[in-house]
This record gives sequence, structure tokens and C-alpha cells, in this order.
Amino acid sequence: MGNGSGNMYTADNTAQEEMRMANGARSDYIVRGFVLSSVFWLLVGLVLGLWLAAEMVFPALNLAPWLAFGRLRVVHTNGLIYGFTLAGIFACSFYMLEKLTRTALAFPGLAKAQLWLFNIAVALAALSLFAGMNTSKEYSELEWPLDIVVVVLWVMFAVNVMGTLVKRREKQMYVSLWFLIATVVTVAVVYILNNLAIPLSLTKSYSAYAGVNDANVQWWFGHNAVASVFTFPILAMFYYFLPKSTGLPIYSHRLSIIAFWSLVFGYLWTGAHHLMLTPVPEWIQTVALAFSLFLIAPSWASVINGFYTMNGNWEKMKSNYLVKFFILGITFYGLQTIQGPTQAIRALSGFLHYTEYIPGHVHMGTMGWVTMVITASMYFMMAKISGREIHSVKLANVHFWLILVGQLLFTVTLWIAGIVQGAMWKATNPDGSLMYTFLDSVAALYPYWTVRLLGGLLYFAGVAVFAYNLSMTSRSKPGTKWSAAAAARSQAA
Amino acid sequence: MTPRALAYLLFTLLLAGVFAGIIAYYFNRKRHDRVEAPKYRMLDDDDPLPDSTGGRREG
Repeated sequence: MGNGSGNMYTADNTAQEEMRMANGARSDYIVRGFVLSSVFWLLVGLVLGLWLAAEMVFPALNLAPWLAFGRLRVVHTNGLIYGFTLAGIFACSFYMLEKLTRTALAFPGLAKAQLWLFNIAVALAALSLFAGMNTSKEYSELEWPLDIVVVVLWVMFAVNVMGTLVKRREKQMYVSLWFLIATVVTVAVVYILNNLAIPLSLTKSYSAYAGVNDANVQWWFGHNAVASVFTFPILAMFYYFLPKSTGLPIYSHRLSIIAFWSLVFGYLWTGAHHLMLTPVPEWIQTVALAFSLFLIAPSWASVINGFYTMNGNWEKMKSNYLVKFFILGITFYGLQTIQGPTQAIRALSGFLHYTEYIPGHVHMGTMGWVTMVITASMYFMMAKISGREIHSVKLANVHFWLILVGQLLFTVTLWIAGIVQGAMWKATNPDGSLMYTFLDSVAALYPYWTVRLLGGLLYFAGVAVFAYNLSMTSRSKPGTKWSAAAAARSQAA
Repeated sequence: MTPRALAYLLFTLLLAGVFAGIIAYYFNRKRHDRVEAPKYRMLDDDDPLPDSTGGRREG
């Protein structure tokens, strides 16, 4: 399959190979640690999400301030973005880095420390948000002491990524590594700039920006957090784990590289589409709208690349359980990247913004694209790390169908709910007065919220099956296989 | 046009030029094999799981 041109890997260098194995065994521990952390925070985040969905149907469930919708909602989003997704990204990044650079992780000790600090930080973040400490900036709610911890964590990650890339033995970089670099750089830039604040006390600070500038910077961050966390690293996983799990090279590497650069060029300009029809200058809104529509092209370049990779091998959708996750994942990514830009169009934004359509859109991305790709990648990695096959393919298939049906039920219901809601808000009588009160629109949504809760329950059942399957797969000791090989080599030497 | 607006325009044109250059570089036929090589090499290290099912079959 490979042509080996330009390959700097020298397999006969025993000493280096020995070191790689020894280091590899250590990074297995780190990858496994981040995988298990990710699954733990996924379960926590989803339980909170279910509670929130139930609160919409049964408002009496707002039992205490700590369980009030306003506080729970941010723990849910932060837990799933920074707990589940970031831990998944760290796990997959460290795994892919070693394989694609053919080099051991530059600083395995640092990665181990990062694993522990990460879990402590997420736990502290959850506690602080439960307690009501909140900057009130969406996805950027943590107060300044925790922001500093997040930055420290990111520096630890960046040092390992860049350090490993610098000493790589594979000269030419595969596209997944480009996406990892983009993740490292963009998260650092947007997170630090948006969280610049003036501390008032240990638990309270005020944004360094004011008014419209604050809103603009906030959504410049908000949308690029989507790019940096839900797009770049997940595409890195997709481009790595789809070929790895099928043995099929991606259709076009150069197309993936062009998609990468187009995303990097385009994404940073789109944040203001969250602020259409607001006091933000109109030209900024128009630039954001134009670049949002532009982004359809590179997004679909990856979708087409994924589909063409499977060209002639579509039977693998049946025979290889991982392919279903990746192909459905990239399909939802494609749908998501059509839906998102169209929502930026002023007329549609005016109708849909602030309605349930928006969480419907977001959840197709997170429950469809992001979670499908991360969980499939975890199946692959844990099987490899544990040196055994996955515990049960049947359970993996049950997991797939439950999360697929749950997600569709959830998102499609919210889209319909959003259209109903928007239409009711805009409906007027012949004399120009509003046809419905706000409460009318709330009452009309109860059936949709009930179906959303059912979709969420199905989805959670699927993720619970995944967690069980993965934990059964990972029962072998980490690095057992590699350590044994290293010991055998030492003995022979 | 103010100097500031001109600077923005030039910067935008520069970015567009860089972007066009990247496309021209990667889609140059002379570089095709070299640019596509990583997608084959990434498969070399650890092969897909034995039966290409991505995991163990049951039954």
C-alpha cells in the first residue's frame, strides 16, 4: 500500500525502537486515562442534559438553586465541551501523534501530569458553575482562576504536540497533524483573548471589553471554539481513524489539505453571524455571513473525501462496525455545515434565532458528528492499546443505532419546535397586534420537549452501552503487549 | 480611501494570494505523487484490525 518515498523511519534501529516501545507503553497509559476521563465526563454531562430536558417538561424539577436550569445548563455544556470532548481530543491527539510522527511522545511525564490536572480542573469548574460563579459569557463561563488553569493545561498540551512534531521521524505531515496544529493554535488565541478580564475578587471578574465589542469578541471566540474543538480535531480523527479501521487510504490527500487551509482562512471571520440583526456594525455581520457561506465548500470537501474513500467498498458499512460511525458522523458534519451557514442568512436568522431550532442544530453536530467520531475512535484505540479485539461488536452496533435514533428524534423535533416557535412569535393579526402571547408559544412546545426528552433517554442508553463495552474492552493492563515485547528484546540482547 | 482601509485591502489581497498559492502548489501535477504519499504511509505503521471488521465478530 505504501510507497515509502521520503520515509525517514528506520525500522532496524533497535535502540530507538526499544525506546519507542518503552515510551509507547507509557503513552498508552495516558491515552487510556484520557479515554476513561472522557467517558466519565460524557456520562456526567448527559445525565445533566437529561435532567435539563426533564426540567423543560416538568418545571417542578428545578428543586434547588444548584439544580436550577440556569446553573445546570452551563455545567452540562462545559462538562461536555471541556470534559468529554477535550479529553477525547487529548486521547486521540496523543495516540495519532505517536503513530503519524513515528516518534514517542516528547514529554510523557508532562502528559501524565496534564491528565491529572485536567480532571481536577473539570471537577473544580463543575463545582464553581454549580455554585453560581459565572462570567455569563457563553462557553466561556469559568471565572479567571480557572481560566488560568485552562491556559496552563493548554500550554502543557501544546508543548507535547509541538515537541513531538519537532522531533518527528516522518518528514511529510499527514493532514491529521495539520488539523492538530490548528487546534492547538486557535484554541490558545481565542480562549485567552476572550477571557481577558479584570478580577474583582477570587470568584468575580469583569470582561476587559465593553458593550458591542464584548459581544463581538465573545462570538468570535464562541464560533471559533466550535471550529477548534468540534471541527479541527474531529476532522483529524476522521482522517486518521477511517483509513486505519478500513485499510483504505483517503480519496485525496491534497483535497484534504486544501480543505484544511480553507477552513483556517475562513473560520476566523464567521463569529459575528451569531449577532445578526444586532447593534454590531452591519459590515461585520455581512463579512461573517459571506465567510459562513464560503465555509460550505471546505466542509463538503471533507465530506466528499470521506464518501469517495469508501467508493467501491460500501459493503464495509455492513461488515465493519466502525465505518458506520465515521460515515454517519461525516454525513451529519455535512448537514451541519449546510444548516449553519444558511442560519446566518439575515432573513432566516431573524426567524430562527433564539428559538429551539438553534439547540437542534448544535445537537446534530455534537450528538451526531462529534460523539460518533470520538466514540468510534475510542473503540479503535482501546482495542489496539489493550491488545485485544473489542468486547462485543453486537453491543457496538446497539450503541450505534440507539445514538442514531436518539439523536435524530432529539434534533428533528427541536427543528420543528423552533419553526413553530418562530412562526408564533412573528404571527400578527390584521390590526398588526401579536397573534400569540409568549406564554402561548411556551405551552405549544410541551409536546416537542417531551419527544426531545425521549430522544435524550435513547441517546443516553446508547452511550451507557458504549461505556460498558469500552470498559470491558479495556480490562487488560495498558502496555502489556508492548512491555512484553520490549522485555523479550532485552533478554535476547 | 484612508491608509487604514488601504492596509486592510492589501492584507486581504495578500491572504487571497497566499491561499491561491497554496492551491496552486498542492494541485500542481508534478507534485501529485509526493503530496498524496502520506495517505499511504499512514497505513504502514499499525495495520487495520485483522479481519477488517474493525473488531471481533461475534457468533
